Amino acid sequence: MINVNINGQIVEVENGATILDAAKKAGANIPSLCHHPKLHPYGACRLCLVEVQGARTLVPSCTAPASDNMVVLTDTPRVKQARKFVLSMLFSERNHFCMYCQATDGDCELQNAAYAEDMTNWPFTPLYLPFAIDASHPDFILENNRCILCRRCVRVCGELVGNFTLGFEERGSASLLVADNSIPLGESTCISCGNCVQFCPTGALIDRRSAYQGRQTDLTHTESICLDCALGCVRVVLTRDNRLVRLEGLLDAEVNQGLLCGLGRYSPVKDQRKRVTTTMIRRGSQLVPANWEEALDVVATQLKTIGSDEISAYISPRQSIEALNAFVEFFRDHLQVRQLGLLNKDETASVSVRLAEEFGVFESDVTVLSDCDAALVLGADLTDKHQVAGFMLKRQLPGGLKLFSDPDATKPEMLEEFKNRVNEWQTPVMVLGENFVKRSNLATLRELIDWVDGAHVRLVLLKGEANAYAAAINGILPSDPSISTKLAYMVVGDHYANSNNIASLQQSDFKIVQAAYQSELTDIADVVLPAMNWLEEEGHYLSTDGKLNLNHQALQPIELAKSTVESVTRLATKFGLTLTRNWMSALTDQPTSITLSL
Amino acid sequence: MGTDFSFDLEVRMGAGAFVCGEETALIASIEGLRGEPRVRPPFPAQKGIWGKPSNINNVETFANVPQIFLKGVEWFSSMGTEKSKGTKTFALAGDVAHTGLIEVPFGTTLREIVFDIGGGIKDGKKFKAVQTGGPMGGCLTEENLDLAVDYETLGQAGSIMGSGGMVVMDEDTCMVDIARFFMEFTQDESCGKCVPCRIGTRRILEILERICRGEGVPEDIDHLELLCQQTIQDSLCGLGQGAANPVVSTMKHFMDEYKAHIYEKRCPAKVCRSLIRFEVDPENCTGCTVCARNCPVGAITGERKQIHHINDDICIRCGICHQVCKFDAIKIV
Repeated sequence: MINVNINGQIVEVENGATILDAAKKAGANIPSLCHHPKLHPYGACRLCLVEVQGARTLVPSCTAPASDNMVVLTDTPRVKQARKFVLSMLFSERNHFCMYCQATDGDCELQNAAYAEDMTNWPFTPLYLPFAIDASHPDFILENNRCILCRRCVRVCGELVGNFTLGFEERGSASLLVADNSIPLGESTCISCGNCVQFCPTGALIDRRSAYQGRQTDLTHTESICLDCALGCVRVVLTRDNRLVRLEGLLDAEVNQGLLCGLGRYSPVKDQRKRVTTTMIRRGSQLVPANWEEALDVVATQLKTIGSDEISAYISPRQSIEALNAFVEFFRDHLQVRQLGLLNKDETASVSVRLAEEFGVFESDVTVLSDCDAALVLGADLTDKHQVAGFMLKRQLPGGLKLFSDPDATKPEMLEEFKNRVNEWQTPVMVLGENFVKRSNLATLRELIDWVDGAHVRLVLLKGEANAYAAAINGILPSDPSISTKLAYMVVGDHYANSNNIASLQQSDFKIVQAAYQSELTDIADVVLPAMNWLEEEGHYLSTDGKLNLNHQALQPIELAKSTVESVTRLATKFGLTLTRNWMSALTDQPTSITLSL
Repeated sequence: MGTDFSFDLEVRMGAGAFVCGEETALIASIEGLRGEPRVRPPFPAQKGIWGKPSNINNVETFANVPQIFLKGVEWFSSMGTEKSKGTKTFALAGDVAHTGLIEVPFGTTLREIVFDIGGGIKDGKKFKAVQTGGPMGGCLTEENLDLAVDYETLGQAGSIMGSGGMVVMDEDTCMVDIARFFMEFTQDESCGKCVPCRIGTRRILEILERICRGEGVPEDIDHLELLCQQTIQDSLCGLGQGAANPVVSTMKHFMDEYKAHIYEKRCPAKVCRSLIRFEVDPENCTGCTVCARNCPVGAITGERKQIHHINDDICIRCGICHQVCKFDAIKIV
């Protein structure tokens, strides 16, 4: 530890900390633009220059390491003059017309820095050279007139996401932010993760759907968990007037460290489905509005009349553990229904639970993927699902990561090669996904885990989406669409209708669908119960590496929608039942392949 | 040399940029990335090319090493000054009789270099200044001619050793134009990573260009001083830190020329095209028509054996008439 004197105040920081780190600890606010806590220090904007006693000239605090007994002055006239110079230069470079920018009055770090220096106008006249706007991308717009060339977007795209789409062409004052070899962003290798937009300090990168809908201070921020895969990335939900505005990654979240993928960031805002607004019962060929009591009575009557072996019950993996818990208790424990199915084909979660019975803990945290020198990705397409895990690997490629990829699990020779070469590497990892981790592949899997035990490989299994893992621990396996029964009760929630779940529902005579959105599923149902979506229903989720996360409620639900827990509980009262099952202890009942952090 | 030490020498060609002379930009270029300087620390000696400890020096530095090994330290130290031992190569250019590459021991005076080795100013003109160190160096004037050249003395005199360039300038050189010329180069070569160099040099160049066009205003001097001072102080690497040196140096030694351009719209050295006119001297003109026939825009009129006339509105100041006239009848005013 070293002691640093910031404006007369002594703070203790770790050896290797920068002057900026020390200043932050001392509460001294040094402005910066190109700096970002999640990116490697860059030292380009020069706004963070400070005076250091004994130094030849002003020192960039974001990159310079602090030393023991260093004396730093952050607000001298010389420092303020340099800051004004940097800001004046920036305003004179491009066309910074604040009045009609969506980031104005609070969300623009350039503007905020200028106001902090008591600047109210441009000291140098700009050239007024117009720069092209690239509006070719469906999710965001690149406005070069507002760009301050801080390169945060380029650095996120490269250093953190590992995609390297954004870059710069030309040099000096002709430098320009471009995609790939200077082609429209919409035609480039961009994977639409939107992290560049989130990291941009000015209004240069415009989020199409949320622009002008409110400054950060106008919006309500709620932390929640992304349900599109099982990584458990923490999303910040930004809402206004009970409406979803935008999603951002939480900077300090352990798994995603501020990043989101295109699915997690944009699928909810792109969702055009219509809500189910009222309970409905089929009369003849029509679905007719009814009230909850009526509907639940119909359902209860059907459930009581039909034998439990003629009933199938399904639940979406996107449902919370509390919802899953109520579902399991009511349908399996009380009604003795045996045909219970998860609306997901991915067997990874259930197979991992099965293997845990034999092997105990054999998996590692997902974060091991951020620091490895060789990786085999087997049976998982990280460009589709679990993309953030893909980012962790891709960004290590320039550093020499040896990456082997077999997403469809069709190349056994690749696995053999990896196993044979494993001693070449210090920190090898294996990522296994749904195309490899299947019940039909158990023998190979057993062999692999046996071998991993002796080798120094860390294993990561990607278990489907959202709560597939919690469902598997509770014994709910992927549904079999060939099962045909007299009654199906499907807790769809906000899950998308697809050919599999439609097929499952069609196999039953009487169909009860609990859903948030209208779809082919509600179209063919006999009873429709309005459900909440993930923004409205609070609950817990278990990530693929066993971390328990709480998805906070971000929106007030629509009037008649009920949470799954409430609707199942009310249904249970029709049977004289009170639901008491403890979901926490149910999770610890089974051996798991990774130690759960509950 | 009798040991079994051997190594492979790999020659890599860069894409060709001035800024890649900066050591960390050079490293980036070798690694196949944009030639932009990097944060230091870590210094290249600890973490350089591909993260490995690297030793980076100019070819001239390395070229000195074999001689030192072969002939010994004493031999090497017997040449040069107290702080700068050995010899230095210079690229002697400009208005001297003999231009070219020279190698002299440190401590050789500027006078020796310019007048003895260089053979003095061409065409009998007067010495005005010598610019050392390349595009980031300052100017030394007549009062510095007896300077014993080494790293320290050049620094103290307001210039740098830099790339070893020595551009000798005679009385017909416009020092504002020189400042503009060097700034045009450094501005173009700026990598663009940091704000002070990328934008500061651009603003400085714009002002210099305006002054040379006769559009200078009194505030320009103050603006130039502020821009130069801040660009030098705040830039990330040596290019930005040195880019404004020619401007600072010429403003220090030749402020009268700046003022003439700004206040009088006059270029004392008669170089800046917008501020000069070509006129026929009626006393010397013989009416030979050579100038008229060579004028590319037909700006000169006149009968044979009659005094010719240059139309100032058409004249593009190319200077061809001045070159071809055998009677010294074309004057630049």
